[in-house]
Amino acid sequence: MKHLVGIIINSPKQKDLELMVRHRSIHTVPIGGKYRLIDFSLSNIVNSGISKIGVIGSYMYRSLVDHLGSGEEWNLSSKSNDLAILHGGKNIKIGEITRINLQDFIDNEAFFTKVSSSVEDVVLCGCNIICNFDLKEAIKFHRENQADITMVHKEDYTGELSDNEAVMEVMDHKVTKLGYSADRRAQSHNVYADMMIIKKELLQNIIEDVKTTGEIDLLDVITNNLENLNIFAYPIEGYFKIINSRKSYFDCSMELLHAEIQREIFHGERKIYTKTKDNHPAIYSVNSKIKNSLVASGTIINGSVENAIISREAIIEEGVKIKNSVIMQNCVIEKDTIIVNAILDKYVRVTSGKVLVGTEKEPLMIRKDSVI
Amino acid sequence: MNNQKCIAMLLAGGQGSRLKNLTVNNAKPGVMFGGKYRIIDFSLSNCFHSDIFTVGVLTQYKPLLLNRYIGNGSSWALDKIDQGVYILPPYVDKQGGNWYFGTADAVYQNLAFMDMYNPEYVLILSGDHIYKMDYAKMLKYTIEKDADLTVSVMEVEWEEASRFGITNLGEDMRIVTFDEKPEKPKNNMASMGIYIFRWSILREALIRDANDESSDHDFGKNIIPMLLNENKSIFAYLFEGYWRDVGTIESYYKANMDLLSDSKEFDLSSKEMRIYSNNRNSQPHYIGECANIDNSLICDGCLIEGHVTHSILSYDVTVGKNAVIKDSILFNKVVVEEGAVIEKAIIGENIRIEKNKKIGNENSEEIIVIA
Repeated sequence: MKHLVGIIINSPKQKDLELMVRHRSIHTVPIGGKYRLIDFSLSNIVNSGISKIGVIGSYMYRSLVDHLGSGEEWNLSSKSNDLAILHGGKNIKIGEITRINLQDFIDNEAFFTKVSSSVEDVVLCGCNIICNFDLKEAIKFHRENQADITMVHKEDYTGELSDNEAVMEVMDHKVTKLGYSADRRAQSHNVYADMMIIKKELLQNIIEDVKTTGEIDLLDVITNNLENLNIFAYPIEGYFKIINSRKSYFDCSMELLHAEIQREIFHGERKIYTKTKDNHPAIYSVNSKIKNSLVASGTIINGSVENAIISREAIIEEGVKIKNSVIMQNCVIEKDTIIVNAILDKYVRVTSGKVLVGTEKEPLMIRKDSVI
Repeated sequence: MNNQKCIAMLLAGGQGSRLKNLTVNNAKPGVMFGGKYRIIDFSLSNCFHSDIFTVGVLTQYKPLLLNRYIGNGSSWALDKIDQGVYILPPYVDKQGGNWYFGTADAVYQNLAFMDMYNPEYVLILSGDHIYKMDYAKMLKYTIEKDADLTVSVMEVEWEEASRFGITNLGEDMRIVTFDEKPEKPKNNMASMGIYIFRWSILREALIRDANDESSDHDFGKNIIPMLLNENKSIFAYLFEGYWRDVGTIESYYKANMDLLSDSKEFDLSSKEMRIYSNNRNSQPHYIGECANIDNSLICDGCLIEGHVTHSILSYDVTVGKNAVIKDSILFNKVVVEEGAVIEKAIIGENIRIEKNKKIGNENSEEIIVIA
């Protein structure tokens, strides 16, 4: 779709995901066996037909650049399409959480001034939301209503809300109130779904104004101007999850095992794209026992696995029992180990005979590269 | 781009009629293998790992799927500046043009392509072999022997020997005589259909062969015997390792099943010379509550609620509840409905097996092919 630019913003650091984001930007937290969090927003934008996309990085770039490469897998590497990795993560005020940091936009002025004058709207998406959302329809809605801003929202959100999530009130498709979940947790579970469409000109003016007002959070700017602007709300009907804590990460992983959610996220018209790898097909030995699990390529399964996500190139040896767990890429689980309610980050090696048990409420989290 | 050391010409034009209906809409090298792969992946991956980055792929029979699959060669990291994979179908010039009449004719008709690169050596490959081989070692051997032609050979079972071109070796691995598919083989050193020619020798031989009306224009039958007669310096290069010609349903099926054997004759999980492929962007496969999986290879995108044993499932296969898949190979997007039973069968792409249907028999000699 011409006349549109997509931006994936750099979500503020999520304290509860600490072990997972210590060595990578939140964009690239692995999920669902072969994906990274950013794949969902990036695929949603690509599937809406937008071919000019900027991804605001964080100060830890390596995993992001490695993952996106030239954007080939998202069909963004041809001459007519454009994927840019933008500066980000600078100047965050200590102790304050900036939800949509306008400083990131100021730092990338060159990107925004170079955007063709024919561009009318900018789509802003968070990098830690899991959904398969038809942005095209939301864009249509935005234009039909000649909105200044259209904010996508999820009513009756049941997932975890961190204190700084934006919640809203909506009347006749218009946003009437906007605030922090911490202030009004009891009243509202109508959460901003971290996707908005905003007029380019308006965004440019807001960026210009920051230089004088110092108001750095776009959501605060919008809150302060609710009455002056034409702000519409567009509901997301299907599955939606914000990954902002260990618990929400774990819940989302387990929810991906539900047939219906899986169908919606993975089997619809709109594909979720990710970096592909030259792995062999999953190898199941004669001793493998497996049920209700997602298994990626390059894995070798010798043990028994139930309600689990087994990511690329993980090796599960004989006699291993895994239940309700997420095993990330390249983990090696040696013989006769038991793992229940746990999240094992990439390259974890669990030596034979160990027992790792967490609870559903507090799943055990094992840091990347650990040997246990 | 000019004066490359070695370029490869990959013969991918064969109809593969012995693979029966697997090749109705697809050339043999484009047939799926081992789940996610297609047969041509093996040769192309070998080229990359051997630092041979210019590959001409000679296509003729039903080339559309193969052409699309190969694309710009990026799947095998062969999309390089001034090098890469080039699809070479028969073409016409002012004098007209012809279909490829034989393996040698196919290469002859692309002399202009090879002239463009003007290499020192040309590697001739087949697109229907399953193996990992470092051609760079064979090239080094060729240079050390100062050979005009090196033929890659391997020991085969004696009873198999008459299916192959058999080399009779003299001292120092020099090939003395070459018998194409002999009734009574004198030994069991079989040609694998992999040759490295000195380009100047090949060029001249191809032109002479093209002018010989009695020739079948075949490397094994005509070119090699001709060069032997002329006392050219021809050596055998002994290959040790797993290599299979998958030209028949039986050999194709068996090579697939080798991937599941305990002995790991051909280990896909080995990181060494990893086989590259055109990877699909499908989700991880899902194994349902009542499923049973053992001794199988399963690709991304599959949705399995039935029982799968000693089988290979390609991308996006669906297996319904209580369905049984045994000793079988299912290609991309096969749907097996509830309660269906498939034993010792090969099911082609996009086929739907209806509810409670029974196909094949595990005790039968015959391999059922549905495509």
